[in-house]
Amino acid sequence: MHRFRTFHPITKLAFFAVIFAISMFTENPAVRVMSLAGAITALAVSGTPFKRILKFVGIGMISVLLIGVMNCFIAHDGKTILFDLLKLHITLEAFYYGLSAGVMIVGVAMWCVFITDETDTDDLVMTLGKILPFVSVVITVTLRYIPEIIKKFRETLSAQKMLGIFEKKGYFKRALIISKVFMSVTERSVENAMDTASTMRARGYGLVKRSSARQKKWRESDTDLTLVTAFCAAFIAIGERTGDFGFAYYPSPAFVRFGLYAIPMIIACALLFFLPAGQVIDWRIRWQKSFRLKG
Amino acid sequence: MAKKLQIEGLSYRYALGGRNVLANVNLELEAGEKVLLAGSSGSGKSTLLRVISPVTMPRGEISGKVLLDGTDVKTLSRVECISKIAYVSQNPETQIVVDTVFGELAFSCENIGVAKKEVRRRIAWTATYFGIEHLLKRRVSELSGGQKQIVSLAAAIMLKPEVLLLDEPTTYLDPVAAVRFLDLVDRINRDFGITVVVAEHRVSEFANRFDRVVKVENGSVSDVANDSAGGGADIFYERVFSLNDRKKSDSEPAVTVKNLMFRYDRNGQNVLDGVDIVIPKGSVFALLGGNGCGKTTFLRCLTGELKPQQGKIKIDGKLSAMTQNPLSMFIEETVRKDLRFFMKKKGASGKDADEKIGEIAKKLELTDAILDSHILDLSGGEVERSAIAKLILAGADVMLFDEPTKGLDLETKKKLAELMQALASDGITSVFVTHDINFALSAADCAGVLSSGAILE
Repeated sequence: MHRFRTFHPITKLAFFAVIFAISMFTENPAVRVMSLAGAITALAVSGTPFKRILKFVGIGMISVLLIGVMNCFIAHDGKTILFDLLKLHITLEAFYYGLSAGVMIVGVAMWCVFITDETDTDDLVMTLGKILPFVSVVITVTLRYIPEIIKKFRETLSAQKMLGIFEKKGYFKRALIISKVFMSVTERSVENAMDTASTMRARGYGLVKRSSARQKKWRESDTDLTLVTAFCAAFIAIGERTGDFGFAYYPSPAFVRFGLYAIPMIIACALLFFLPAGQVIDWRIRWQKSFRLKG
Repeated sequence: MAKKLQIEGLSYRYALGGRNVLANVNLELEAGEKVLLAGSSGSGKSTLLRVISPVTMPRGEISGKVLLDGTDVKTLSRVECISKIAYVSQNPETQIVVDTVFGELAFSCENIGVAKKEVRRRIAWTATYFGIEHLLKRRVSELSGGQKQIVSLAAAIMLKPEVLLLDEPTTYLDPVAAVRFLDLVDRINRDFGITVVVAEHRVSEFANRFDRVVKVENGSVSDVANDSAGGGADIFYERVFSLNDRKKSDSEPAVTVKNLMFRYDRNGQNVLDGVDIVIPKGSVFALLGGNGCGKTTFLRCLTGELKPQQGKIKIDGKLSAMTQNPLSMFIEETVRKDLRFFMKKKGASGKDADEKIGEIAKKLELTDAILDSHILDLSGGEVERSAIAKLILAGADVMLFDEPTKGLDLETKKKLAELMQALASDGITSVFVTHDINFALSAADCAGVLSSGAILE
């Protein structure tokens, strides 16, 4: 069902780089809203629990409002003055600008959640394995130990609780014990890391130039997605350059120009932002069809 | 048959050690032979395995020779050593290096520059042979102890070794997983003619699987007769149930559990489904049962770490628990420092604390050397005894132990059983969860088997 996950790490890297660039550097609120909507749709169709999405949307809306309000105290341009505070104008335009910036930030954060769901460490290792095998091993060893350290920390803390060491109240005393637990877990992890280092040497690490078996095959679908990404990115870049979809917030929110390039630019943006969701839906339809054919 | 491995006059001393751990060891192994190195903790069997190959040898002084097919291993290149002699340590946590099973299998081959296509072919074959295809994409942290050890073995086989050295590979495994693991070792030996050397202290259980048993004692080796009847652990649960004839039914109850029900997921199955049990004061209760039947869950309910959805638990007195890893009970560098810190937190003065620590240390045979050594330098048995000392200092009337014999040799298990009985005579109740039926029989005076969510007595 996770069609996007199956792409080559470089394809995904290029796609998300373009998504981030457009979301962050285009000031047009329509583009920012599309980015946010695209991220939420992608999360929703790719099986993210509804409660989790609702939580993100809720936190996102509060963040957008907060950023909007905060911007009123930072920027004082705009012609619609709501009120004056300490001789400074609090304007409606500054609030709009803040809201738009908030939508952008929340949108980017949502894409980050989607990326986390759709990529794994293998992607990183596969990308780096051939070029920087040493870095790839360091990453993979680190990733192996992070869950172990967390597990050890929880285990040690729980053992201390069971011994009744937390019976006496007081934040400072608790903090002291927790810091001691942390130090002891760190020490044990360093000791384990030394054992692991000797195991790595015993298993031939650092003897000759490493090969890398964790490399993904470049498929036709990777070529297709890369071409679509490049085509849309080029189109949007040209549109930005011509300023046909330009938007200004001050003195009042309005299109700077709505030229020839605006409509194809919107289509290109929509195509990019909704492509991950579209991919998942397309994959789901194919999957269901394959079952129907079997039946 | 041709000699595969010859050890001639081998002596070894650790870099910081004062005495020879191995002294004039002579041993010959034939191609395809399967040898069990038996011996108690500290006898030198792990060291012997590690000094066979120069790549696994710890820092120290060595004299004598190790010949592989008549060639001194010192003259082999490191790549040749790694390819021909595979070594698997007792703790899969330190043996496994990378985050995924696929990456772990590929690791050694990648290190010596085997081409990508060949590595993938070997992974496909090895995973099929070991039946771990379904684990290839899994994270190592998600695997059970048994699965981790099988992955370690599979990773060692990836380089097609001629000699396979296994250092107490079943130490951290329950009896079922241990048998499964040794079955795989048998298969490797039979199918590929790999010479296998296994260091183990569970000799009586496994000796019948081996062509030869070599005893390691005080750094020297000698062949011993392999006359084990075999058959593995005593699996007759009747003997466990018969323990309850000795149950101190006239004593006050220390632990009373009524109709206990627990499940992890709202829509999941009950792990504990109406557990009823009364454990008398001053008794040693053994809880047995298969993997994943809920033994640890039961202990966690008793400690209050898990909140049961239904039922009542009544503990008479103070309860303390020792987790599967007793090291997690210590947060200071040495046992003495840790116990002092603990006593201070419990409100005892320095003098009082030292007196109490001295008393307990004497009782548990914790010498000054043990009390003042770094906690990570202590043996499994020493850590275990130190942890029990901490439990006693915590003022526990009921002590819970989760798999207390994991990683202990026979001698230490015997001492632990005696200790539990001594605590019982002082009125302290011990409840322990174990897979080790023989230990349960020697330590406990009442027992239960957890099955289908209920404890049967």
